[in-house]
Amino acid sequence: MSRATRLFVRSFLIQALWNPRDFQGSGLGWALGETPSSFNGHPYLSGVALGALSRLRELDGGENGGDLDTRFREALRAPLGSLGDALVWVGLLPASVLAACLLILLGLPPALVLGMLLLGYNAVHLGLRAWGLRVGLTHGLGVAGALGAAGLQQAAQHLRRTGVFLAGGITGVVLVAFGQVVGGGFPDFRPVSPELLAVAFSIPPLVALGLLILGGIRNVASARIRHSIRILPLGWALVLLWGAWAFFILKPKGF
Amino acid sequence: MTLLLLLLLGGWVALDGAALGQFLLSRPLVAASIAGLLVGDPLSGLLVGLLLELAHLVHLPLGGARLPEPGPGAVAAGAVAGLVGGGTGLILGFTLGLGLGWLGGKSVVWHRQVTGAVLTRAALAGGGLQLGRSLVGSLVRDGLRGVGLVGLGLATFHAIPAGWLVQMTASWPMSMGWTVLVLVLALLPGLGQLAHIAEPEPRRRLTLFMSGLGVGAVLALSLGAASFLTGAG
Repeated sequence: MSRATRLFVRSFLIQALWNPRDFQGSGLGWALGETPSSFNGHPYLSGVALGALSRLRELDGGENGGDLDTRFREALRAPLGSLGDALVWVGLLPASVLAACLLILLGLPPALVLGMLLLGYNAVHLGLRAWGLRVGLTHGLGVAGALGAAGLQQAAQHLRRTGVFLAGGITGVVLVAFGQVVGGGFPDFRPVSPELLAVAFSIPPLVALGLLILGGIRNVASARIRHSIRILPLGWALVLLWGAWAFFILKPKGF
Repeated sequence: MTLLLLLLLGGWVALDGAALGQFLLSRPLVAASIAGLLVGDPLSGLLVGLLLELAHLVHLPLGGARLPEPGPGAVAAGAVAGLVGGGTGLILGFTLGLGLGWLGGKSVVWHRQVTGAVLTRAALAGGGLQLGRSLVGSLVRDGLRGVGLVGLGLATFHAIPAGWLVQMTASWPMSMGWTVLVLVLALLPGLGQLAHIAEPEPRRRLTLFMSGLGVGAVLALSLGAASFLTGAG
């Protein structure tokens, strides 16, 4: 097995020894076959660190635990972590999963959607791991320049914005679906009592919609609380108007 | 046999969460769908997975944050939703999935502390670290943790007296489609929060979100999104 193949395979287990003492350091040490030192970064971009440290071992003064090694690990840690978080955890993952949820809600065959989700997401995932390792092995100490030139920040920004658009898309689908079923009623709808129905059907969506407006447009939990309070009456007015439309104009069956 | 497969799926999903690959199998949408398929009701598994996905999507693993672990809980949730069926199954599965997700998050912290202690002990013992052996031990512990969480979820479900289940199913006022809709509506604030994290600039966030909302509404009106949910009665 070549060095690149061995490192690629081992990169999938880089977090198996994650611990509060050296984070991914033990996993990285295992993958490189050496004594662990503290390290952390995004797992999908771990190939960059593996490849670059592997190259570093070929240089004078680049031995494990040496000054150059320590400084290089420290320099690599923050960019790999923040870039990976922005690209994968805030970008790729929510966008992929939200796209799948949207397609399922729109009525596409779930097996097809889940298959597309797993294949599409993992094509990017595996590509990112392989690319990272190649960059690390090729550029060694100069990986920062290669990471900057790859346009990953821009890709992360596009993915994050796609996620926001898809979150809006799901909200639109669900609101239309709710309006349609309130208007049309379900065949097996079993009314129990008006009070229970009022709680079950009106309060949760109304509260949810109000919180959605506050959460989506203003951050309630931040220092912007004063703005949130200002928007509160407007949000609730909209929510109550919507509720009145749904429950009095559409007159759901069984109510 | 189904029980064994569910427990093994729980172990696999726990490993996929962080230790082994992170191939997306541990996401609730996927894990609960597979569990539903294993118990013979893939639709219930899919729907409870979708609900748990929307509940957990806002928990982004940024900067070592301590979060719930949705995977093994979703396996138990998908199985319970499939076994009970209908709106009652969804509510039971969803509640169980959320509870196990919280417990799973706690158990991940415990597992990582144990891994740290094992590595420290090995380092203090001298003679060089046997990282390979520690790695196998950590994988086994992590997998067993997932098996245990799914086992706990299924045991909790089996502890519910059969009479209660019958009563709950008879008295639950909503069909499966209604239950999904009401729960999804209640989970929408999470999407607003996610949008806030993903796009910090308020004007652009609002534009993107409202554009998506418009496109989603038009698609739903033209494709009949409600028909999918009414079909899930």
